[in-house]
Amino acid sequence: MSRLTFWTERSRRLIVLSCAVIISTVLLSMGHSQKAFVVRALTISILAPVQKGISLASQFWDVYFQNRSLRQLNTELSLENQMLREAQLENLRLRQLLSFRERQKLTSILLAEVIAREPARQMNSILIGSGSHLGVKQNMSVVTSQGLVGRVVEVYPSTAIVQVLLDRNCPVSAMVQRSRVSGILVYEGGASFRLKNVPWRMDVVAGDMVISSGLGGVFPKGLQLGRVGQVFSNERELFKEIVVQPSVDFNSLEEVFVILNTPQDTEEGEK
Amino acid sequence: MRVLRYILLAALALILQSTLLKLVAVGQIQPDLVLLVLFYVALSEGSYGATIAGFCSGLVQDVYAPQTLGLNALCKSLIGFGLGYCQRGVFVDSLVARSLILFAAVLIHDILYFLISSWPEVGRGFGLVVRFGLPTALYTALLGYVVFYLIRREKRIQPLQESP
Repeated sequence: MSRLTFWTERSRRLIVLSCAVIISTVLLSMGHSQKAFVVRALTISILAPVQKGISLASQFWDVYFQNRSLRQLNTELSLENQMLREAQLENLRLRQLLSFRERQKLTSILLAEVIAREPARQMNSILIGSGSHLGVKQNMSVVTSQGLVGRVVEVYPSTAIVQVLLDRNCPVSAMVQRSRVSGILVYEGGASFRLKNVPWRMDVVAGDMVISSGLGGVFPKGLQLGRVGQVFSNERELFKEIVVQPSVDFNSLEEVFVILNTPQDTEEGEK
Repeated sequence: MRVLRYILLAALALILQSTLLKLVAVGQIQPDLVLLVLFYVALSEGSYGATIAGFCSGLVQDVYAPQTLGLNALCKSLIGFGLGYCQRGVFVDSLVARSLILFAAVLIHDILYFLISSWPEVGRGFGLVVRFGLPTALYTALLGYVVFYLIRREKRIQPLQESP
């Protein structure tokens, strides 16, 4: 009986193996037949959704790391972009300064960086990063491509303090460029200048450019100061009341030019 | 119930083989999880169950190899039968010995597979065995060692029962 059982078990294993080998061989010989295609399609349709799910899970892992590296790259590129934009703006400002220098035929000017502003609310001076070592002297004019900024009032070896036009104690001899009418440009607070001492009969209209006249002996002639905004004239008054909008944006000063030859120097040179 | 467990295990191995295993691939070499499961089935069920398991899992693998439908089924049936047949005489409880047997099983499987698939270019078949078969066998054996160790830690592997 036990021998029979052993024989049966052994033959069962061999029968299974034989069946497996025969079926496999038949399948191997079927190749690309229609039946093989049906079997394959059926199995794929069952397994594919599960495989797709697991593939997605593994892709999440990839996406996680990809996301991390992309965030880092994004930050780096963003910083680089900011720096490039800043460099572009600086380039633009320097180009404007250069063209101003050529336009004004100023041969002896010095580029200086604004390194500090007066911390008081009413800004009336700035600190520039060029001083006596570079030839800066008191009363030298300070300009930008937009026009006159102010004058040097104190000089140190490597820095200098510039009194800007937004100071009540910094009047400028000015003239209207079109009609050559002279006056005194002063700051009386607010966002604009006043052009004083212009008789009410004089020809000044809104939109006229106001420039330095050079009569005060401090600032060179011909530097832009601003544009006439409003003109008030009254026959009962001796002088017109003229509001001038500054041509320089004093809140965004970053680089300025110091004109190294003062008007006195020029006059002495001419003599 | 036991059969269902093996079927699930084989299905999981097949799915992992075709999806997540690329994450642990070294170059183009991946461990053969299906053979690892087949080895486990042979340990528990002997040659009868291992032959059927080998045939079924091989057949499913063949679905993805249109050129050689039946080849995996053939190779895995033979390997399953061989593992189950010599289970009683050769299998020992040592992890190293089991890993070596697994290594030999994977290698023989790949020899059969590559020789038949590249027939009559026998030289090319052996080239593929050296290039893919050997590293795969080594990788699978190492993975098998870890798996056997973990299984033993979880529950001591029972001494092998004689197949009916």
